Amino acid sequence: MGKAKFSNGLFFSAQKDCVLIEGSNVTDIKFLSSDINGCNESNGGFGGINLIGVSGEINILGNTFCEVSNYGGAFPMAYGVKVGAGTGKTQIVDNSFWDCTARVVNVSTGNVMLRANNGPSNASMGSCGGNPGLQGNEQHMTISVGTGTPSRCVVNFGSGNFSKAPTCVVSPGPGSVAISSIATTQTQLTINGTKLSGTYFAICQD
Amino acid sequence: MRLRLSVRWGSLLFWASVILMGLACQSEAACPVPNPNINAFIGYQRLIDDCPLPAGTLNRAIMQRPAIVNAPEYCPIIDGTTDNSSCLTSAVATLCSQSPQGGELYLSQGNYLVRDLNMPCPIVIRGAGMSTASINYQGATTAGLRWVVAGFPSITPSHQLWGGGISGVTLTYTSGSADALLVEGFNQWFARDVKIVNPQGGVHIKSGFGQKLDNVRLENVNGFMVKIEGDLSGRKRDGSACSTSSPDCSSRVDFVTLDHINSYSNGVNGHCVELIGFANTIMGEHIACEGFDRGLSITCPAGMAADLSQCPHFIFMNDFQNEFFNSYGLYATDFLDLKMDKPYFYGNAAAANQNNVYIAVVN
Repeated sequence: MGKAKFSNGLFFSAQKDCVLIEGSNVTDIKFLSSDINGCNESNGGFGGINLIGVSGEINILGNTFCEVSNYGGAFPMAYGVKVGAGTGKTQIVDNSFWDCTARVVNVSTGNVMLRANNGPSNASMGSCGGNPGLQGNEQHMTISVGTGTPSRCVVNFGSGNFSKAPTCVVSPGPGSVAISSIATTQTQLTINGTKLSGTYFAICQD
Repeated sequence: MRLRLSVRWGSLLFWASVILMGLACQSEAACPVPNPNINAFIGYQRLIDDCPLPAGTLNRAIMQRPAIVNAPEYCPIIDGTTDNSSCLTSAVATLCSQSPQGGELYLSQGNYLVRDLNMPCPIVIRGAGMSTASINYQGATTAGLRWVVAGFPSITPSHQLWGGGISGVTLTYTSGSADALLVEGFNQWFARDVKIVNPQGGVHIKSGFGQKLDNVRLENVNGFMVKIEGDLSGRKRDGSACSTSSPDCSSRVDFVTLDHINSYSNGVNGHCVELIGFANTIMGEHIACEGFDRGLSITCPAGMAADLSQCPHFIFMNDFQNEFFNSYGLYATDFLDLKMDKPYFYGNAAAANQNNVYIAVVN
């Protein structure tokens, strides 16, 4: 199987996945600058691009997903991209994910890179004092610590934003105390410190 | 002064000789060697061929034009109900009997009823225009108008013919009775400014190099719009059967250009653009399909080379619009190198089991 490249496309209104690519001999597929919307309008559980056992390299760059998630139908897109078992190197970079239930579902053990994707944030504050706040998105956020000077603040990432525990850098805002440590998982950022207060700036990358 | 007079007299003598020859040829009896095959030639072609110029007066080759046959001179009744198959076949035979073979079959205004017509040599069917010249095809064969080289596919690449095509005509088929156009064994065949109504399938290209479709409109198609299909049934240059180890094969297809092609289907049975097997370098631009089962279908039969070199490859589609497909916008298995820029896939919401794009390896 040779290369396939799709650019500047419009993919609307599929009963199942908009794009389904499967097979170990499929190689070098690119989706560039395309709109992949309205998939899955009459059935539940399907989404934009579904990769099943694709051993070759997949590049999904600069596309828009889920902008009109229920185009003419009742169901939102379950995901923007699903990287299925057995799929190899997949780059998902600089895409916009709008109203997907999950941006990226990754059940692969292969090399999946998520970077600089954006869209409405589905990150939220977990435990962080009384009435904490969060502005920005999973990649760039400002955390406002709640009342009570907690020793730990937790940010919950939305589903499918990172393929693994991201690397994060957290800096205290003016007047805020220094942090003692951070920890990340694929779904959470935890900031530890003594009597956290004020604001903290965080940048996270897959 | 003397030189100027000389030029004037020379010019006058030249034009006088041309006029006199034209007057002489208004009567066939005046022509020195009547040729029964050129009664239908029109315009200057008739003048040139009926009245060969004395050697040395003019370079005959400069004025040579492709042979042109005016269909009404072979078909006295063109009313849409009288079968014109025999008279058009005679016109085609006239063109094919010449050396070099081929030429132009001109369809003036009218509705030609055809039940069977094959062009065994490079014939261009040129109509007076889509709105004035039409062919009403009522044949029972599965292929409608055909450009088929005798003996295909058992011919070598050197036996393929060059040229042929169709333009400026509307083809209307008895619904579902036949595929509209079939091309086998020709290179650089073309269809331009053609409208096709009610065919079973549209344009079927089964071999050749450099075919081109430009500004073709198909309506109410029951099967495919364009099918480009190559295989290994032909012969190599040395006469031996084609094999998976050699690209030299008379039944492969190369360098097809599709430009401004649009169609709608009522049958949802066929695929809009279908690439099968040994078909390479297919370039499409501004293609619109509506109501087909698949928009672009790319498949390769089992038994081709393991490296897929006899499967569709080098496929470039720009601005491929496909609406209300029932199964797939793009169905692609076993191919090499596909690029689509500005594809648009919008599925039929009422149909089940559809993906906009399905890519897999099956063989």
